[in-house]
Amino acid sequence: MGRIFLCWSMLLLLLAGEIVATQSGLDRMICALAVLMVLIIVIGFMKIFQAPSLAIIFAVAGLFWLGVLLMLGSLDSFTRTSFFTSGLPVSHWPWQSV
Amino acid sequence: MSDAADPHGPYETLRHQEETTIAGMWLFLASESLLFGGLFLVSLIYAHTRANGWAAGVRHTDLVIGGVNTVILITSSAIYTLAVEAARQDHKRRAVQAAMTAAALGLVFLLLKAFEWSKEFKEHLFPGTHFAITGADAGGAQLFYSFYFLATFLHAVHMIVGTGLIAWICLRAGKVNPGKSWNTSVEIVGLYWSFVDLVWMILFPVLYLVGRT
Repeated sequence: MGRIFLCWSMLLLLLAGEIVATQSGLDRMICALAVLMVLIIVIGFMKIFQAPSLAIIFAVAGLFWLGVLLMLGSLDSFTRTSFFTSGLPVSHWPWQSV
Repeated sequence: MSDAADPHGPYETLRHQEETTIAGMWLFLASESLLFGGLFLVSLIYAHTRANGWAAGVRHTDLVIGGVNTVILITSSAIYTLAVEAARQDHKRRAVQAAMTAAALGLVFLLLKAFEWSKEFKEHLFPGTHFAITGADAGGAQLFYSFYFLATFLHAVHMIVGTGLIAWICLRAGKVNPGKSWNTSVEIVGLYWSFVDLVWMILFPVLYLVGRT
């Protein structure tokens, strides 16, 4: 009971922290607080550390593939340095001049 | 009470059966995280490549309703965890009361979401020809609202399924002796309900906070 109340209070505090960070324009801080909230739910409410070892393996595998999905999926958008816009004449597109 | 499971089943003991059920739920939740992962990938890409339009969309969401809904969902998840604890201690009545309160809070969340959606439809924020946000950032804002409606719809579907599962738990408790398997059911529904809460903990900053200021 006490543990659940503690988790609930921490989640509300972190939510308040997110709102304050929003007003200050601290986007990275908001993301960090959201990750903390997720951890509290997984550890405090879902009790991952008390789950059977097979469940822990499934959770870690899910997290691993989620990481692969997000990293590979966003790789192009985050590493591309030039974006082609419709305003640019077709004759100026790099593959047209080759 | 004997720890032996149903001799016709594939399990050696009840504990084995219980652990397999919980592991199965975690496997399902891992697959669910990949479903929502695809959605978050979309937001990650467009919040980066169409940053201005995306932020314009974020600024139009209702932070008050979003914030209140987050508090409701956190509370609902905490209360359902109390139901899991009560079921473990064989306090069936307490477990059912907590589960019903959690489901009621889930319904309040859905009602508030429906109100928010109707407000957004009236303000012409649904992507289409009469979209309210115009100018250079209109494209990015339409992308944001496409994501917003799809993500909140998918989350709401999960909420409805979760509420239905809680109702099923409460109905099963009405039987004379729901037995040990009922306690496991309460636990796996709790995992699902907390996962739905967890998804909202990521959706809330993505839809309402990041890029607002």
